[in-house]
Amino acid sequence: MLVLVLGDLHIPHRCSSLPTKFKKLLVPGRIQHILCTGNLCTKESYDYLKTLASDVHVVRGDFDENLNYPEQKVVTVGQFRIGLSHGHQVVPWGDPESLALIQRQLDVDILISGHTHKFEAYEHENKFYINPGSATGAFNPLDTNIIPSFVLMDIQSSTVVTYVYQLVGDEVKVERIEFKKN
Amino acid sequence: MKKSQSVNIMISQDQGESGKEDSENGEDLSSHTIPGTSECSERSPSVTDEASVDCSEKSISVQKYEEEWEQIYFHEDPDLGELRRRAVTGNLRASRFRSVCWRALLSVFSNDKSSWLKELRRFRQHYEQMSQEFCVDPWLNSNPEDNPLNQNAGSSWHQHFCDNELKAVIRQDVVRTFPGVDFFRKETVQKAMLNVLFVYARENPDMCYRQGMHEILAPLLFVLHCDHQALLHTKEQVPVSDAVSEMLDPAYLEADSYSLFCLIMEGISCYYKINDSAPSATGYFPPNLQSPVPPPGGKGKENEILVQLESIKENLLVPNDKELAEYLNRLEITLPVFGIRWLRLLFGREFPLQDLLVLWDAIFAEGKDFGLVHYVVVAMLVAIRNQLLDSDYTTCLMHLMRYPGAVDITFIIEHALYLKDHQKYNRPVCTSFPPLPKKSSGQPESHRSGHSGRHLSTHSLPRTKSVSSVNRDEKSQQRKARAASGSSLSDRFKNYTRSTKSGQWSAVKSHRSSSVRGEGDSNTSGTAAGTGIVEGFALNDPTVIISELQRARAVMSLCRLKLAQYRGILSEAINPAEYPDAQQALDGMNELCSLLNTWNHGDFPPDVEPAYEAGEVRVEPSQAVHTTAPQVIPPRRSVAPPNQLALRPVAEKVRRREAGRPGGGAALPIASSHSILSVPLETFKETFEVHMGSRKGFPLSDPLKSMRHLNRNHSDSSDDRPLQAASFVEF
Repeated sequence: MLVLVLGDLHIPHRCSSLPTKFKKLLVPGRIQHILCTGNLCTKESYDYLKTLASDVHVVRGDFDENLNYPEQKVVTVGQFRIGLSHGHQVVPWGDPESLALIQRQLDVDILISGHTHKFEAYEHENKFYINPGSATGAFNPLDTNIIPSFVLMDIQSSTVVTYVYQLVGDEVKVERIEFKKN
Repeated sequence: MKKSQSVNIMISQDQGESGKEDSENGEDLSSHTIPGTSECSERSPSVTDEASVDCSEKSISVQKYEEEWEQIYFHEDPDLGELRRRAVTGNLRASRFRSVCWRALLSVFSNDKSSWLKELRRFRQHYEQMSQEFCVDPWLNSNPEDNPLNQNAGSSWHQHFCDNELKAVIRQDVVRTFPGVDFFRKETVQKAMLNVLFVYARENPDMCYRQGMHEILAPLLFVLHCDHQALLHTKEQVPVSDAVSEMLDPAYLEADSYSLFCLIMEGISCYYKINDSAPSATGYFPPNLQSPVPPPGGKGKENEILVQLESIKENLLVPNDKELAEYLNRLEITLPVFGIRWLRLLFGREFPLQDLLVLWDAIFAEGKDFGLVHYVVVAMLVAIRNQLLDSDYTTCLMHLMRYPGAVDITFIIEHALYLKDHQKYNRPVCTSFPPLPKKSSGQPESHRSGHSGRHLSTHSLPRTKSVSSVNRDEKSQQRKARAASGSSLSDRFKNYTRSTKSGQWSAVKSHRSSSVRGEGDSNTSGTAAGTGIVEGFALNDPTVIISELQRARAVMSLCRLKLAQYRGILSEAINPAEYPDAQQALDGMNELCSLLNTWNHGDFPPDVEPAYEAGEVRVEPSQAVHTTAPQVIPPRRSVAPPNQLALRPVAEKVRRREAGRPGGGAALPIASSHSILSVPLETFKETFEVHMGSRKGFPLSDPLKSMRHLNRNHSDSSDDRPLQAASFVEF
């Protein structure tokens, strides 16, 4: 089961669209679910995501124009409970301890958050934390060097294989991380 | 008894092959019977005890099973000639080893029976291997460099997703195979079809999967399944030899059907090819190339199947049936419209399943190159030619797209075989062909003269002037001439049936004039043989229909006479006590006689009083009449012009005639103006025209005036009524 994780597109405010190479990779028919961390910001982006897969989950980011997205969401895929939150609520941004707080609160195996525009994927206290970064490479006030990235999770019963796609220079680089649930 | 006879015949054959066969499976061959006749042998009661009759019948059928298996192949028949002959004549219909026969015919197996099992095992293994290979699971064989979104050709993920797409496409078609047959609604069967088609598509990327292949595969699965059922059924009762069990092992349904399917696809791959497209590396065509529409560019890259259809039309249809070809041309119905489906599905959608299997028997028997298929197309077209020639564009298309079910499949097969090889096969006897109305020779002679009264000029098939058929024509002509001298009933009937059927079967060249010529030549075989006889007919010609009916009547009277004769003879000869069946037969003959008797009464057709206008006077031909012009055809009625006012005698006549006729009363006053002396219509017209011609500038548009004027010439009446009558009659 393939799950796409991305977010922080900031279209059209900070970026005009996804990088072409990413667009070529993302073809409909392969992905079953999409988890979006937020800050799309407009409906057009949401519609585009809808064309890739029918099951799209979005949480509210601080720049989203749609005020009706939930702040947090929990989705069960296979044997995994996945928590979804934008991350602007978490202070300091991207701090592992604070994110662990959210994880315990939501009681999830995998916590997905964004807002830092920086890719992260680590295991902490036997729980998995993923930050897909910004799929468009939109700028962050604290950091000007943003690499466009998104994450694809391949969930097979009790194993998650995470593929990270990053646009370095003009090439798409893929990394593979595996996480097993105990 | 039949059994013993067959034993005698077969023993000599047994000697030759027992050595080889015994080593195969150790059965002892007591008698050979053709499967089709097995029922007859079974009917002969061998034991009086019921239980053992049951047993023996069962064992007979089981024994037949083994014998049938043996019969598939004689080692002294390397080209499977016997099997081919049986297939072509439709004898495999009841075969329990049809799938094996098909494999043998298509050379899935080589001609050496002992190696069949080895080859079978090899095929099965091959299929297993293939399906393993193509079952690509990216989770199991994952390359660390690979990722699920990879769209490169080498990526197993990409392959995986492409396979899924392909399977989805195949599945779409598979669930719609043969909607009426429950067998194909079973999940196991559909899964098997999907697997086979998928493996085929992956193994042959240049063919890939095209819509239509599923319809080729479906009957194969069905046949295999039937054979498996037969095996299991026999196995319940009696142990079956290992060879047979292995050959028809139900577990290998997919593998066996795969091998058959591959062979068949080799033969018909040309129908599925599209010249200018190559499949993608992962083995499937991009979706927009599903239909073989000829590219607008035209000649450059044409699909193979269109080329073939074109050649069928030019080389086979036009020489054999020019009229039909021209008619289709005229309607602008091109062969690809329906031909593509016919060829691609090997007529799978045109015939019911059982008929289709018989047709495939014949096609496979004729060789691996599927050469018979083209001829079958032509045979199918010719078989419904009457319906086609009679219909307009939409009806024609309807017939072609939904082939009428009333056509006999054996007729089509025989005809196709005949077309393919004139020397080897006979012209088929038409069974379900609607009779073409034929022009008869003038007055039909009565049956007593010994002729069937009809000039049935036999002819050759359109434009095929093969020597044999002309000879046949000559011979039958001569025979008919001889029949005039009062030959036996059987001869007369033979002539009748032979010439009727060959006559019916011919395509028609519309020569109405030749029919007139034919009438004159009824007994001269010389002209008949020399010119290549042509049968002309006129559709819906009343004279033709009448003569046909008269002939039928003559035939029936003949039947009745002869039947009565035979009945008399038989009733004397047979003692009813000894043979109760014979008595029944005699009673039947009595009934038939009485049935046929009714036809002898009266004249046929009964005289229908010809219709005539109100106010007309019926004129006998003998009474004709003083006319001023020559009469071309004496009509039985005539129209009397209003030339006289002769009220009473005419009125009486008319009243007598029109008693009870609706509207008779109203006609009286009009009729009063008619004269007794009637002039035929043509003459009337002539005189009218003559009159008109002499009056230059006469306003013809005013009938009243003209009539009145005309009346003045013939009579003194200035009554208005004659005008009405005339206008009624004339205009």
